[in-house]
Amino acid sequence: MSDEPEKGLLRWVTTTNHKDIGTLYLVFSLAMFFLSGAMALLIRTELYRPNLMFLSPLFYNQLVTSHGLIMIFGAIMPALAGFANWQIPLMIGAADMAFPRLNNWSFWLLPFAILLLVSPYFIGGPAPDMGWTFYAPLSTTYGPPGTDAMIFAIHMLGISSILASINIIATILNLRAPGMTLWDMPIFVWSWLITAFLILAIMPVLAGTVTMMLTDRHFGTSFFNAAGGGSPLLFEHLFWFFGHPEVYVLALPVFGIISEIIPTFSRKPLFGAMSMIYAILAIAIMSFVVWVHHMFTTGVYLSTQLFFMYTTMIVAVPTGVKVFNWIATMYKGAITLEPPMMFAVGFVFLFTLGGLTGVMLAIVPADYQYHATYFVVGHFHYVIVSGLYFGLVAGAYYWVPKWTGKMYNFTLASWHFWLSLISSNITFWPMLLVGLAGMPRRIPDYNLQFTDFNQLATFGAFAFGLSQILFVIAMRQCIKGHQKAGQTIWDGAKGLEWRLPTPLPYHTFSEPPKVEGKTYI
Amino acid sequence: MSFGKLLLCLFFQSAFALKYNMTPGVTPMSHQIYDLHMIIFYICVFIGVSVFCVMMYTLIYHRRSVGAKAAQFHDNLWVEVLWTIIPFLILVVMAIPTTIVMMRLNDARDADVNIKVIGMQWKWRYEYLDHNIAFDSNLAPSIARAMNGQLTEAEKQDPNVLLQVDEPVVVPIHKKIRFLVTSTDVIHAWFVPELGINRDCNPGFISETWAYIEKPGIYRGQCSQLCGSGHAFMPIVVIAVTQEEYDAWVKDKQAGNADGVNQTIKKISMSPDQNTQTKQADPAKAQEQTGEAPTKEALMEQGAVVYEKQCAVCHQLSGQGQGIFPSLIGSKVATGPVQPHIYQLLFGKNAMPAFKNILSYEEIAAVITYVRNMWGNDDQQKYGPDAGGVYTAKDVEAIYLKSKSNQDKGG
Ligand code: HEC
Ligand SMILES: [Cu+2]
Repeated sequence: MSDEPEKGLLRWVTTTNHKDIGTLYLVFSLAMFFLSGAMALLIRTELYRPNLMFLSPLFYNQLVTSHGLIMIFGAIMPALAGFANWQIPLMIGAADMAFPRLNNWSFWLLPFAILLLVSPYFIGGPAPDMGWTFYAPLSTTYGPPGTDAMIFAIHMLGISSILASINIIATILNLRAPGMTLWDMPIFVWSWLITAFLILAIMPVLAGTVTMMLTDRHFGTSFFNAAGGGSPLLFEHLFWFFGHPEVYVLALPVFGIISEIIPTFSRKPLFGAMSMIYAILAIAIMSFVVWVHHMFTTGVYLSTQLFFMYTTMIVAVPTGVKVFNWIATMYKGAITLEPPMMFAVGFVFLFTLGGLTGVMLAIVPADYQYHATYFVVGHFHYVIVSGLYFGLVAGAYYWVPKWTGKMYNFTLASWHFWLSLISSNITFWPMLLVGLAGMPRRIPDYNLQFTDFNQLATFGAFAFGLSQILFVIAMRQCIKGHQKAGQTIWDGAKGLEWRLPTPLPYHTFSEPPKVEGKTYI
Repeated sequence: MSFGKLLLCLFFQSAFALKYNMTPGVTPMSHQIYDLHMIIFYICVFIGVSVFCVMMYTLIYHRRSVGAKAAQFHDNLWVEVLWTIIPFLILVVMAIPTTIVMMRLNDARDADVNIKVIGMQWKWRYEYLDHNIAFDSNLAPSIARAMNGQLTEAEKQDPNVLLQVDEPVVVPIHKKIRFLVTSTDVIHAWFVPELGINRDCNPGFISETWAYIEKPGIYRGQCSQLCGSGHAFMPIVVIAVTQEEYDAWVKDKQAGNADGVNQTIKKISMSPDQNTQTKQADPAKAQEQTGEAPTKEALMEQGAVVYEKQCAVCHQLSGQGQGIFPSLIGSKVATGPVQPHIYQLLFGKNAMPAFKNILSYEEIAAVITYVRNMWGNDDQQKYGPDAGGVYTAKDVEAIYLKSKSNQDKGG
């Protein structure tokens, strides 16, 4: 193991350094964010006014599908893995991840998986066009040839995240600095530990499901084909058994990031740290027994609907506890609003909005009217874009200066925050309302009465997309800029990573640090 | 819309929200759904506003820039217990009325009228189980043109252009109507907000839902589950009428009296009607009555009508196909021997639906003739001696009977 990174491009191919791999994940995720964001803008352009303008319905459906799949598997999950790679070893005082070579492999599966996923656009044969939920039989008997590429891409993505999760679990359980018990770990590490177990539980289910699709498509089985004794409802159950916990796979690590940032800028310990950990655990466990809330309108039994309605309502309680804890952490603190804190507060605000619309969706009779309308689209974009994306940006503004030793321009980052805050609301608020008025999701053309709010959403989407260029500029300043970040970057920041020199050396904690009690208080 | 108006719209979103709220609908159940929606909405507003008030307060008063010193507390058992229990209790209170409404919603027993709703790519089929009535309901402006962005200017002016059908579902008011929903291909969903109904149509399964409509009127909806390229173009129109009007409609419908049906619908439609287009006259039928075999021209003419309505959604008006739907130009089936061609239309193949219950023999013969003579498919030098040709209902019937008797023997 040399002390200095290799020179040249080969460094990135052969690296086993957790920081390099973290960087790869983060850069890749940003690229995918813009790719799939561009797809979203094409979709919004088509929806700018009624009547088909320039996309065929078939192509529109392909875009909807790729946008969803790439955002989830190409942008958000890799971003989370990037933070895990950089931060977990730093926060627990480990020299690197437990399995460095495996780590390299988990990353390098990703670009090829995404390449496979989008390959049908280039080699002909329509790309998957049945939405990111790819319900059978639209994806089996009726699926275009590109569906097979999607199936194998999902297998690769699944292997990648399973390997990454095993690595993270092994690192956390075995490589903690001497003296650090599980209960002493920072909340971010806790949230990733639980997330990694979630991934191990659900990815195999997804892999099984797409394999069943594959055999239905080509080998004459009828898992999802009613004519052969199968059931399209089985597909939905399997998919959402994966799909619902997946939502928490995306959310929990971001909860962790926010739980690091808010105490720093409030200069006050995290309120109810124990209840935070229990809340994450409760959410993770409950997430396995709520999946039918995506299927209330399928005609499942009344008793089934009731059970899943109650469980869904109960998940709201630990989620609420988290929000209350964050606010109690800020309460009576000495708050400063640097860019990471701005985004963290923005996260709490918008994620709460998203969560409250989620509580509305849990009310089954009302869900009959919300289901598969733009209300749902608005709901999960509030949670994922204005919520999780804000959290990820907060994390980047928080940690990247420490990693690189360069600081971004605060004014620029503040502009980024305010523009994102306003434009994301102009985009997603109208979606909630047209949804209430009954506009179904996933339609390339809509009836006249929905025009004005769709135009508003399109304006918002472009403003939001363009604002993210500011983020790229800020990150570039962190890498190539001139403004040095000092040894103390955030005066309220505690925890092992902040005891290291700025910028971080290529290898850290080759000697494990001595730790007593909680490092982050 | 001008940019200024858009800005206004933004500032007065709450005012606009009135137009954009959930519909209270026209059934007792939709009213109750609406009430639940408003209750949970106000609860959420209350929780949201309280949380944000505390947050704004700390953001304003606990800033270092206003001289705040950080306290160091990090636990408070009572507060934590309270904010776990209070939300839980709110949810319990919410769950009780919800459960009651759900039990009513799911009770479709003792219905007066039973209608089977069948979703298919991309239209609806309605079967009145009590009256032996069945018909298809398509997007009224041609779906093939709508899918290609080729609606006429006049059509685009219609405020309901994508929510018009050629044949609406007619139902009586003040009766319990049970809808049995299913599908023949992929999953669709029958979504009519004003009836409080949004129910998935699963192929191979039937699920039931119901409505008791209080007010005569026209209620529109559309498919809400992604079902392929035509997903945006399978609208639903339900017309609720009084019992007498409904009986008259049933009678006309059973007698096959299209004029009478149109009259009834016209009379009861509140808005002077763009709602129902008179069904196309049938050139081949007229000839059949005079006893002569239909001419090629008549068949081509009728074939064009059938093709635009039934086939162009998948194979496109131009015949070129799209995605998994093959091009019919120079297709082996459409230029080869006619028997397999007719057979495929009658009985379907993979994603291609069977038309034996949807089209008459005359219509199948017409569309076969049309496809075999369009787009240069009749070029015998290129495709061989089987290309082109004129076929009549007799040819179709013969193939149907033959395959039936084969089946009987085989079975
Ligand atoms: C729901 C979509 C759909 C509709 C509507 C539809 N088809 Fe098809 N059609 C298909 C599909 C899919 C195939 C390919 C079937 C296969 O070979 O697997 C096909 C195949 C065909 C073929 C054979 C093409 C070849 O070369 O294999 C002909 C001819 C044809 N259709 C004619 C028609 C006619 C005429 C109509 C209208 C009465 C019609 N189709 C309506 C989907 C449709
Ligand atoms: Cu449909």
